[in-house]
Amino acid sequence: MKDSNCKNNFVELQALLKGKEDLTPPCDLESDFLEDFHLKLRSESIQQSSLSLFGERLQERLSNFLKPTIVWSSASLATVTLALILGYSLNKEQLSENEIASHNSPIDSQYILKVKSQEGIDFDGTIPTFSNLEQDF
Amino acid sequence: MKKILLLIVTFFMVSICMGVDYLKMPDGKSITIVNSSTAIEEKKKVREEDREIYIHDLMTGILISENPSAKEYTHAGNYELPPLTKLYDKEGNEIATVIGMESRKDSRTLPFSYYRVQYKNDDLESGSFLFNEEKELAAIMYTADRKYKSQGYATPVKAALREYEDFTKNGKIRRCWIGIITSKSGSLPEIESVRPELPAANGGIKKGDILLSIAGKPITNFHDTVDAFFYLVDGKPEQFSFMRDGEKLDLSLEPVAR
Repeated sequence: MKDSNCKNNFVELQALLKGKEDLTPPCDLESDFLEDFHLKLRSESIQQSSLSLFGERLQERLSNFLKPTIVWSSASLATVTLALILGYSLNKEQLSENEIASHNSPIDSQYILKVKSQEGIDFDGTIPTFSNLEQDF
Repeated sequence: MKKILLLIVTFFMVSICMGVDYLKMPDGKSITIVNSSTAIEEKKKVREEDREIYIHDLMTGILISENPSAKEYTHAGNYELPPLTKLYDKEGNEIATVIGMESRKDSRTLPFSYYRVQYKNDDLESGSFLFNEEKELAAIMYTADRKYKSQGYATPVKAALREYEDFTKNGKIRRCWIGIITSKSGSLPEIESVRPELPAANGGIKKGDILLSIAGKPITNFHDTVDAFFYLVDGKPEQFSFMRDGEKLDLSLEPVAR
């Protein structure tokens, strides 16, 4: 694509120069133009190849970066999920143990755990409340 | 300068005197009430003083422990204070007024009816004793109401005594039942079904009977039922009244622990 554009430009340039044949003194405009043009082409070509190289390197680096990142992210997510599940289970277990231990007495703590879970008792506030759903007396 | 020092000393003394009060019972044990905010600190204090904790009921906050510095007070027993009753601290200073009995908070039911009180000045700490005009212990402060400034819930002394009675009688604090399931529709506690082999079934209670009263206290709705059942003690017979086919049916039933 680039080559064809260059050729076209060159053809156009030749056509332009042809129109300048009558110009005196015969100038080396063509050669100057061509030289400039070639320099320009070379520069563009270098830029083009640099860009390609940069693109390739970028792609490579991105690929190198993303691959472990994806692996790490997945691993981290899995670890966090596992930790949360374990934490929740342990906390739940610990809470139950603490509640039982906190009595340090023959209180029927199992009953409290039972009412908490089955009768909708709520200890989150400073005052315990029941849901109205249980009407079993 | 002397006045300032006196004020500082007074403030210091008041600070020491303030805090959780303990009621000394005839058997030497003491009872108080702590809520979820004050329980940890108070129990830590009890343990640091090498005193024994016999029981701490999470639901009511009652804490029965050993406390040589607990004082004996006469108490109001089962008497319920009417609205506008003035409440005093142990020095006789007026500190609160009864607004009324409350059996529910928002859309949820309280485990029993609490006194809703309005403080005269500052918030009252959980475990503060509230006395009536006759200098009888009438209620124990449970918790402040976060929604309303200068208002809170106080446990009637009869609720604390019920817990103590259960503990001394059965060595545990447990809720009781007789094995009835009340209707979820309508406000009247109509019996929807009866659990077999429990006191209600054994006493002949049938589906369709309507619960009228427990231990002489009228039952008109779900909250009344919850409140009345709170006071039942395992193995202690109570008088139940039902209505069946337009007739009153009185029964003595012995509730059992769940």
